[in-house]
Amino acid sequence: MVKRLLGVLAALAVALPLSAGVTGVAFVHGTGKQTNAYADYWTTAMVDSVRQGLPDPSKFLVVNCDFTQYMWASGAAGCLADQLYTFITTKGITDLVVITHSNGGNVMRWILSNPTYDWRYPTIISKIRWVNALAPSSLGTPLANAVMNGTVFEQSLGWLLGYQNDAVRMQQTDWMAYYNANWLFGTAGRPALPKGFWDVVGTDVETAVWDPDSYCGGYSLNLGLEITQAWLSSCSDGFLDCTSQAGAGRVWFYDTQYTNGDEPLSHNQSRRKCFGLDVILRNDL
Amino acid sequence: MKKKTVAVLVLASVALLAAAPAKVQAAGPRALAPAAVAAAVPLAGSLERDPVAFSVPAGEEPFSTALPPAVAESREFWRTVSAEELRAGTPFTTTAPGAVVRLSPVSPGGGPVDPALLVVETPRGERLSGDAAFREIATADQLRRAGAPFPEGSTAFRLREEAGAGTFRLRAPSLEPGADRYLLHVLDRDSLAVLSLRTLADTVFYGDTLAAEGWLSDAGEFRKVSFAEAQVAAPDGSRFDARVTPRSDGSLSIALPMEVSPAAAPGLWELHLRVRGEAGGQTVERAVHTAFAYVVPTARRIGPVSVTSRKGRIFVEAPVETAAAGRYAFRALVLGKDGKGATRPLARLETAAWLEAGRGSLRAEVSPEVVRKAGLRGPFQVQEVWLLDQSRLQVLEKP
Repeated sequence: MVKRLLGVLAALAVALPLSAGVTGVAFVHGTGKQTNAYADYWTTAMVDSVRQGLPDPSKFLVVNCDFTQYMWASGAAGCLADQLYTFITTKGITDLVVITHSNGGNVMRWILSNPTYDWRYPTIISKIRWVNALAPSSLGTPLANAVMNGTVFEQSLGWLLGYQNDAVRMQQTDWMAYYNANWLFGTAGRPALPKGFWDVVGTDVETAVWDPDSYCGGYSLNLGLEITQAWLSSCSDGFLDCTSQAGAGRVWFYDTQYTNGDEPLSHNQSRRKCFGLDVILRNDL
Repeated sequence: MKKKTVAVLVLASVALLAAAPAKVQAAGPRALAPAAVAAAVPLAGSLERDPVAFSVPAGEEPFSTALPPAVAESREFWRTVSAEELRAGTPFTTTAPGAVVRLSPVSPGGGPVDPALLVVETPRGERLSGDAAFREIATADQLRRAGAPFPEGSTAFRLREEAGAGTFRLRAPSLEPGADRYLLHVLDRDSLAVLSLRTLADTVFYGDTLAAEGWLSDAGEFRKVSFAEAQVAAPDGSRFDARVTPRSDGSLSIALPMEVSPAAAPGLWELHLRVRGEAGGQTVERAVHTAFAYVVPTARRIGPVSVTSRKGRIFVEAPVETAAAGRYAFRALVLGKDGKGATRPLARLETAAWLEAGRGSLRAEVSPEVVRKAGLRGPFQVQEVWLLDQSRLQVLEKP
């Protein structure tokens, strides 16, 4: 409700001729190294649908960075800052909506929480209207702990450590607890973020072969999900507990509250054109 | 037993330990580390040379400035087993049906164990395989697509609930001779036996002692352990044995004097604990870890933060001394007086600059727009002072 009211006010502000600004949208991917997130991570259908909500649909950016690194690293937050700053300054963006997915929310929170870390951060922060964080891994995930387990006490340390990337290591629940308490804002008991951080929470995974809804976002005979769910609570999107997704900022909505047919969004589906998510994000611009 | 009830019982056991509350990180500046030690900490963070200041209006939300360290909990355990042990049958114990088991080859090139070749001997003496034994099976590729990047060659399966709980024996009689060792990882998902661990502070400074406590609980009651060992793992792979001392109430006190060199790689350090104990009528294994920061004090405040104001402008300055060049930042909450003389939050301020070794200061002006909008007047003061080493990702001082 609060977000909708703010959106109406923002829309009115944009509509008034005296407050002519330039609205843009940036898509920030999750864990992984992306070179063509437009096609690969988000899909063109999703991006092209969402950006139709802009007064000028050409004012969009799809970020490509290396989020296998720690969130503060030059290849992660440094890369993100570089692309956001360039987008803002070359396109004259005065009103930026950032859409993140998964670990992209943590990298964005690093920028918002550490404004003096990089000379570009204050400019970026000042232009952000708000962040729409799709399934952010704000409190980490027990799956990251499970993947890292077994690397101490045993002789397997070297190889197994090298296999895992820093982003997986960082998203362990105890690591995120430390970073949330010391370097990041927006979680319980901590200072608020300087701009709104609105969570979209995925609450379930549906992988029924006979259910066409299971195929949105790509269905991969996901027997793996049945195993990984064992580490998660009953409310999860298949990778993250709902509590982690809702752990920073404020909840905008739980998936079934607004999706078409009250469909839940799995972790994969929350970055794709599924069940009207694109329309919701489009209207938010 | 439903998970919600499990959570309540675990919380109850934590409450028992509240009698010895977790100590929050000691406030105030720390003594500087020797210059050679400070210089050894890798510059893994910001190398920005330009000073940057930033202030925003202070929110009205109350927030705690000193959060206690989080408690890590585990219903899991893992150990390596040899191929010979797998061929003969390696035991593992669960206390609830439906446990998840993962096998990962320990060294590169080690092949996966074909789940079709696995035989599970149940606590009732049945020998089951395939669909009779496993509710689900997943390969490393399937797990990765589900979002869990387990190592190459991993196999995971979930035991059927009908197989029960207790001591199982997992056999792979057809394993090739000379095959690798494997990591056996068991998640006793619905077990009431939980191993918990917390450090008494989330930050340990060079020269101080890491102090932590762990406890094995079963349905909320402490259980004494028959075996316990603890190790500290640095982000560069170094490992150090920590001392574990049992207490009379069954909990464990863990300590390690941190007289160790800084790690050669950035990241948090981890304390790992594994135990064996009795729970649910079984001898259970459990392993858990928790993260903490190991900080070498590369800078410290050498005096109070000064707040001056003139003509509606507010200036803040923190005198510091640094042991090594780096980018240092100072954060604080600035407060003023409202029309009734009450103290109210005005702004949150952060400023950072590159400082060479020696004495210097971090200074900033609160944004005039923020000051004007707050509508507060002096005398102004600061609270909740933080000092950060942004170039080495270290929190040097916090309230």
